[in-house]
Amino acid sequence: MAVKTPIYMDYHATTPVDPRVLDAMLPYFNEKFGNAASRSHIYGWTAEEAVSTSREKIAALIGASNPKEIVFTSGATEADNMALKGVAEFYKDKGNHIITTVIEHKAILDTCKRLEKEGFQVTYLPVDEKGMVSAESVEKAITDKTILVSVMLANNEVGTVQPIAEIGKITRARGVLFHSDAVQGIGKVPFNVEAMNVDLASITAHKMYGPKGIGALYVRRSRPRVRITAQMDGGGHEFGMRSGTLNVPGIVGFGRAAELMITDGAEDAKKLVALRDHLYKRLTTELESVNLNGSWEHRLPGNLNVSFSFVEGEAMLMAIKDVCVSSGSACTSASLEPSYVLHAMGIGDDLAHSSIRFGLGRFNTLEEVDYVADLVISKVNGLREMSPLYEMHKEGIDLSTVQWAAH
Amino acid sequence: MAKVRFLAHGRDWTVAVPVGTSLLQASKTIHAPEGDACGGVCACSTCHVYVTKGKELLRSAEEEEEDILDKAFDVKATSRLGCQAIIAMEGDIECEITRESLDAFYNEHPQEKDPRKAH
Repeated sequence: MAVKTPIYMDYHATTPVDPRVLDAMLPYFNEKFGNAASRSHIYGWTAEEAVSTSREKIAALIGASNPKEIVFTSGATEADNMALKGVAEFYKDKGNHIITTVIEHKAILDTCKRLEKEGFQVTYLPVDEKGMVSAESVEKAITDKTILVSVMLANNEVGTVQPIAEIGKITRARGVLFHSDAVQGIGKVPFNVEAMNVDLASITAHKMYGPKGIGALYVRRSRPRVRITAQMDGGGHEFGMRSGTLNVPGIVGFGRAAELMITDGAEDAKKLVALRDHLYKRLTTELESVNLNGSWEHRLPGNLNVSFSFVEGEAMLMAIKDVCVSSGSACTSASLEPSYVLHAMGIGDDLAHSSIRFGLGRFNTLEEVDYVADLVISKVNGLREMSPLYEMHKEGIDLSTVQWAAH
Repeated sequence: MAKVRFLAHGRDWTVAVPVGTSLLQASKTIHAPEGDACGGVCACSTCHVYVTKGKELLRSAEEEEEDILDKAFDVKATSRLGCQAIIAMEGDIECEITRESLDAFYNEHPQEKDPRKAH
């Protein structure tokens, strides 16, 4: 069977809306168009009921005990901003110290930078060569001024899954709030806010086959009751935490997507691991000098981030135009700077520049994976043929010992 | 007895009340301008105050109060609903009446002059 191109393998960036999700959403654009805040008529009640049902489904997906703990936002960037700025402002009399990691998404890192400008102190924890944060480093960084720890569930570039449960045990024992940007891992790897002692969590629909423009912040309401200072003032929607008319069709889609993650997530993950492992096996057996970035054991099911030595990542992307993947620079793919995540893992510029992130998802097939493997293998071989570095390598020269002259 | 001092628009009111009294009841005994649109039954947030001193002398907030506080404006770590904040221990308490509470009070007491407004 011929494979249809282009092939999409960038599911960490975004996912298509599942047809079942779209079907659920459509009526809420026209015949059920009500404002969920309208209390006086059937249109409002219908919308409000749909929103409540979605809240329940999303709460169930992350193990939240109370659906009111789900606060809808425009996406995870807003949820991250709300969590950090909201906690910082509300608890500023308690302390001014925040702990996070160097491999967080920009929505966390840049929010932290802004908070630093406002007088907060931020500790950026390092990661090991596999991209893992250690729970001990979190424990050591906590001071009596620490109000919040924010560690992502799974990294968007190298797919490492962080020890959230271990960190949660520490933060709970020390009386510090714990936020997790859970966007990439939700429904794909185990995540449960109750079992893992997570107090705030950012999630978004478009990474789990829902629509773009809708996300949520989980805000714990008991033991402890977490409060955040609203960053958006207005009608007091979303329990006073985020004013603004609710995006009802988006919320309905988000709820349906959450429901599908509950029913299909485990099966999806199993399939993705098989496809991912097949791709990795083919690349590593049919090519030499292929380096895996990140941890093999603690990894998102659909993630494969590899560096092809002696091949420039951007050249590689051009060579496999029919395949939609991203180079290591992922979220900053507009710039040619190598990934700050790979740098933090101690990976040098040469390998960081030659990294490719394959993000497999629900709609990829084995035929597509084989097509991509064939293409990548032939293109890597072709590009290496043209590479003087590869030639030197084949002659047995250790490139790390070469003194390069500037000119 | 506990001593409660209310602060609002540059004035203050002080009263001694027995343990078991709510902040809202305390405010009423001295006509401090704390609003209570619902009549003090934890159904609105118009008795919202910031307890700036002696918060630990109050019985801690229950979930019902926290849920209503969600509706209040500019909630801080010191926020309480006057109707639900029962004094549990003797000592000195100081609280600032919030803007939304003052607004509710002067709305319901048109005979009282709102010093925040130029007349």
